[in-house]
Amino acid sequence: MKKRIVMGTAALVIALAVGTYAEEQATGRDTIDKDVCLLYSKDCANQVDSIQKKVQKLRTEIDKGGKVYTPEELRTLNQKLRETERLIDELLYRNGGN
Amino acid sequence: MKGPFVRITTTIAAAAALGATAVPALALENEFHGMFRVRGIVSNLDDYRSAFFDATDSSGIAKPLKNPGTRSFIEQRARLLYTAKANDDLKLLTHFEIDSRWGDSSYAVGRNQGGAIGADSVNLETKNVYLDFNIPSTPLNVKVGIQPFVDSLKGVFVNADAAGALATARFASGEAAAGYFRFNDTLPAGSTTPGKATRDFFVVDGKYSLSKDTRIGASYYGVLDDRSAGFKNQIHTIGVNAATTVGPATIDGFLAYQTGEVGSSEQDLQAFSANVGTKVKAGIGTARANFLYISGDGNPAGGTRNDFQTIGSPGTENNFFAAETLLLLPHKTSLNTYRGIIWDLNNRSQGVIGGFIGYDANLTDKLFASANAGFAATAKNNGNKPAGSSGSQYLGTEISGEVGYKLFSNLTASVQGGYVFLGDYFKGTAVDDPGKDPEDPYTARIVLSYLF
Repeated sequence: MKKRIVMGTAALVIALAVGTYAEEQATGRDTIDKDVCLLYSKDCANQVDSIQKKVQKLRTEIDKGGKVYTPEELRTLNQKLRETERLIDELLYRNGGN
Repeated sequence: MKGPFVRITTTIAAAAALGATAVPALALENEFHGMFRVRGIVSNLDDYRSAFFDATDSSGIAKPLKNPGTRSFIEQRARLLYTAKANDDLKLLTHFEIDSRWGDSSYAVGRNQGGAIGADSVNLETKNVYLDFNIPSTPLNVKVGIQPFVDSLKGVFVNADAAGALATARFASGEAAAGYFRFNDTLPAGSTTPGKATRDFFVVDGKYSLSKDTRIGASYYGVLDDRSAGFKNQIHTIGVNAATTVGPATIDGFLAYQTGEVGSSEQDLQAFSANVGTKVKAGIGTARANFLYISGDGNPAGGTRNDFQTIGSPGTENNFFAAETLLLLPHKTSLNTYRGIIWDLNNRSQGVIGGFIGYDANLTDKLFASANAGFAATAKNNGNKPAGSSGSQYLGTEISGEVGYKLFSNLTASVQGGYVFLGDYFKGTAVDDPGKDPEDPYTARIVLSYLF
């Protein structure tokens, strides 16, 4: 009797789980738990920013200004922005030679 | 046994913990960026080469031509930038390039090819390999190795990759730089001794911010060239530059004077270059204008040289991309095809007088367009002008434009088109039909550009 109850409960749990999974697939719920890095190569924890993203992030931080950063830190951020923009120029545009 | 086992376990755990905490400090950050651009071109001038409009091409056909024919081809370029960053104060930068023209050759060894069926060519170029580091407890940044260098004269003297060392001290209100580059160290025939026939380049450059909106600068560039037997070229270039923002307008420019000695007869050098440019936010975009003057010499064999010397040989290592022209001066997005009516700004010792205007519009978040117009003339005509040329200095007027669409934030597709109305400088100079005018140059380009 006990064995039958255990097997019945297990079958019910499995059926509910499968049903819930199918419903999630249909409605798109619980997307927060999805591995979007695996699915879409998005939001990967160890991803490297594109060079445009790096510029965007630096500008965002610089715009926060003196309320967040010291003058020295702002100089560092501005210097990094200039260097990154210089790298973009070197990548995109020609300089010398063929 | 319990005692030693616990001690060993504790030791391993401590070592692991120490290793874990040490990882961030020891970790090397590997950073990759790059660019890929492909251009489909239809033109009567562009031809996968880098040369003057009226240069003789590889098939021996001299320009300008009355019947140049239509060239249609596709070229591509990839650039890969790898940075090995130990920390914010120390990194190694390496920059590589791969160029091909679709269908050119395969299974070959050499740059700028490998686009034919089969591909598999040895065609990787190394543009830059240099160390970039800050000296602790000082404001000094040092770059050592084969690195990009552009002058403070918008590149009209030198804009090139070169081997050298450049130290820059950065302060709150400006920066000062000093550097040394070895452009060439040629071993003369029969010699195995480096350092005897060299072209060396010295840099002193400073910039100072007078206010948040105004910056001034001064520079000295020295070239000592003793590659030729019996004489030494000495070119001293002294320049000043400035930039300021007034309301919606940014105005910048430079003035440079050259002195020294050039050539086997030790000609005195006295030459100038100057520029003033502006960008003004207007409507949905930005209007821009630039004026350029590069001095020329009517008789380069005379006792004094008045043509502004630019860095070149074997190619051209200078440019003025602020013009934004496609054909009068080469465009900044050029790949292996790098043609221009004025290809090198010394312009065969004739110099340049040029005026350029344009407007860049952002029509939507993704759609953009630009329109350009420019004219150019020589500053002085000399014997290097094409055979049969009249006395006119007027080289021509260009109209050009671009319409583009950002498919993604880092992928852009665009169409460029340009046409040059050749000036009387070229009147009657067609080499394939003596006495006739050469055909006006045109180009149409479809460009796909990816940056990451």
